[in-house]
Amino acid sequence: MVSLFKEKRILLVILLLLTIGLSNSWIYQFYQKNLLFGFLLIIETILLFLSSFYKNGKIIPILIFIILTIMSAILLIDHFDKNIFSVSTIESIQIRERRQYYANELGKVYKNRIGIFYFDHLSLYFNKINNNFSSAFDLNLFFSTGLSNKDGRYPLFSAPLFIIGFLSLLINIKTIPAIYFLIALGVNSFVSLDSKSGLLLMLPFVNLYIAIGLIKCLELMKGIILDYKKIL
Amino acid sequence: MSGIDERNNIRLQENLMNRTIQLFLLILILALASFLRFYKLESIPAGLHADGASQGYNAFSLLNTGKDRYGEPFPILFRSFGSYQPPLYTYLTIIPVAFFGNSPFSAYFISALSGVLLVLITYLFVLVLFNENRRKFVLALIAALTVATAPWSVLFSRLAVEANLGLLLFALSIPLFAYSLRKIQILPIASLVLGISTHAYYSERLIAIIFLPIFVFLFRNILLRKKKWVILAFLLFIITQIPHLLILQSGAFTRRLDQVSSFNNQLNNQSKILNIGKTIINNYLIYCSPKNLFFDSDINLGRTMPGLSAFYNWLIIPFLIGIRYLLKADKSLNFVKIIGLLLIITPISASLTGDFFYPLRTLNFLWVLTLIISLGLFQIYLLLRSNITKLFILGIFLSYSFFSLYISYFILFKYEKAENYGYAYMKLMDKLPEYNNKQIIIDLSRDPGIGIRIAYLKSYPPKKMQDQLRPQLKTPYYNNVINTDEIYEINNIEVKPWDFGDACRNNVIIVGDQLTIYSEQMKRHELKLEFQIPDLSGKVALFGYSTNPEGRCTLHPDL
Repeated sequence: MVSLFKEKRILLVILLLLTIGLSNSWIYQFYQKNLLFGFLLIIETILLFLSSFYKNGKIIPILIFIILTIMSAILLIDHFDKNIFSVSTIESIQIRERRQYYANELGKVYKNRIGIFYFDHLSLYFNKINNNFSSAFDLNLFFSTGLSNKDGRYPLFSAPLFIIGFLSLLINIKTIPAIYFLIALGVNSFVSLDSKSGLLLMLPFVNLYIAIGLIKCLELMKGIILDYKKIL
Repeated sequence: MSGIDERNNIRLQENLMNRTIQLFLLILILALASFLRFYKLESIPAGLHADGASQGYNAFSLLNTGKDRYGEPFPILFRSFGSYQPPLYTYLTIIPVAFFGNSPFSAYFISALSGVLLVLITYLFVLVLFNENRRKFVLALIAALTVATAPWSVLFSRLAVEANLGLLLFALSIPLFAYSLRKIQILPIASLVLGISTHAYYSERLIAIIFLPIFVFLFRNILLRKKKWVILAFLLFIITQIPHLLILQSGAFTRRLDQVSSFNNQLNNQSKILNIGKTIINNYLIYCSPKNLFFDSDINLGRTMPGLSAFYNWLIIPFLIGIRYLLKADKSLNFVKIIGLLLIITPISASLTGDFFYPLRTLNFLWVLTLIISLGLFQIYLLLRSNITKLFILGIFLSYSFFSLYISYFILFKYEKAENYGYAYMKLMDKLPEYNNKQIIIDLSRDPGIGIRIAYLKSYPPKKMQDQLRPQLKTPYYNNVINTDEIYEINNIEVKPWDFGDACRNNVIIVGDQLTIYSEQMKRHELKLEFQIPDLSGKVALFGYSTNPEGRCTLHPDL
């Protein structure tokens, strides 16, 4: 059983999560387009947080992964990155030029069916998937990308809070958020970044760790104030 | 008694054998580092960048006359193309120029050597920092191997960049600082080396000034017990800054910051302070972003190689493990404090500049990250019990890394970056002897380094060059206003921005790229195509035209 004090704290954190999740102009635009998805994102944020408190229950993890599956399915159906397996004109020019370089330098290692398939096709697909995958590690995509916050999804001041929160995850690895992060990374690899829906699955994770970062900062400040009072 | 002696003897022999193996492995890693940095250094990068040519020629000029190409005796900063290059790299380049002559290899030599020595210093640094760890030799070898094979280190060690030398000196000072916590007499030496590093690269000027007082503050309980050594350390550091202080007012010292600072356009902004703060945080995020460090490759010069980021992408896993190890370690431990301090202060210089993710300006930060990655790799090493598993995993990841590095650097970088290193202009030098009886005009509109590159590779007499360039200075040698429209005359070669009047000169060959002269202009001025110089990729990069003043110019002299 969770104590009354703990429940109050949980409610406060949920309020904090709602504030972080709803006060974001970018995500707000998305809610307007797809209310169901926005609702699921907020629910997922809260569930991810609750999973740290109710460790023994199975309902929360099951709910998390059901919602994650629904959101992943919606994203993959609506916004699958079709560019992964198609070759643009610029890319085909680059492939043509590089063919000559590989042939000059690698000789027979390149000039065979496996070599040509790897260098001309496989590495291209791999790079595109890698680009989508790695966008989840781009702090500037989540936070400000310039002096105006127009393109950033969260205000710049929340970036240090997220970093502090994420570092706390590294110290005490929470299984459910960690698994969620890895699955979201995998799905993200196949979602188009151009549609602005890429990285949506990451938002519950980011919301959660901004909140945790804020809580850690407040705890630290409280500790410093208490220490200071002791000295006085 | 004899039993104990025998056991001690066996332990001693085992230790000796372990040491021999460790030494052998270290030599192997150094050999690998040397191979990755010196292999085909003469031909990859294909050419010589303007800054490298400038350093090389200034070294050649100093060697022969004691003055740089403008006739300035032993400069504090080299005026170069207005970037006021820190001097140490150029002074040290005198040695390879004296031994190997005026070649791209000589210009790159100090950077490549710095890259190899950095591997050794990293090894020693780990030994000093983790001196109480039983497995410190393994950790030191892992760190040395990680630096030796890191894409950022290989890339920048093979360019004539002062930043690599700056990193070497900065990195050398850190184990000395760490060692000074055990032996305080080392502190002034560490401080002296740190001070010298500020003469090697721009970033160190700021980082060194921040590092020294914070280091002393962090370890005040140890260091302030013997204050005289601390005072001596500060004094020596200040002495090393005297040359900078001498030219502080001239504008030359801060000119590079003025060129690359991200705050230049914000001077009239009402919320200036807020914007500066936001820009610094934003830039800091750019340098801390794992996407930029482990995944993104950037085709622009000074960043990364095609298809490979600053680090191999799989290293993100040991990086996170290394961060976790640091966070969980006792915060009072020296290595936590030193690495933590370095992690926070090393991206500061780059954060003040406006360019998006520019690893060249933050090599110190990349080195610290490499140490953290090594800590992560060390944790993985400890997790694996079987030696066969360790060797198998090491083999797989090393093979993958070398394969990526070979494709990205030794193939793609070589061909796709040849244009940036003036490859075609170097090939042009093989062609020009055919036109010794003609005046050659090379258009320098798009590459300010053409003249100095030719002068360096042709070993043009420095005295003649000084007589040419000194009168062209429109401002004092140290100044924040620089004219970059210098004309070079090297025997029958004239390097200058071309104008249509040149088409009316007799017995002239005009050389330029496809933007210099359009086909319509060629027809109008009755220029005749004499030769074409292809780039390494086979595309025509330079065109040579002979003039025909008898025709068009006589009829229409205004053209």
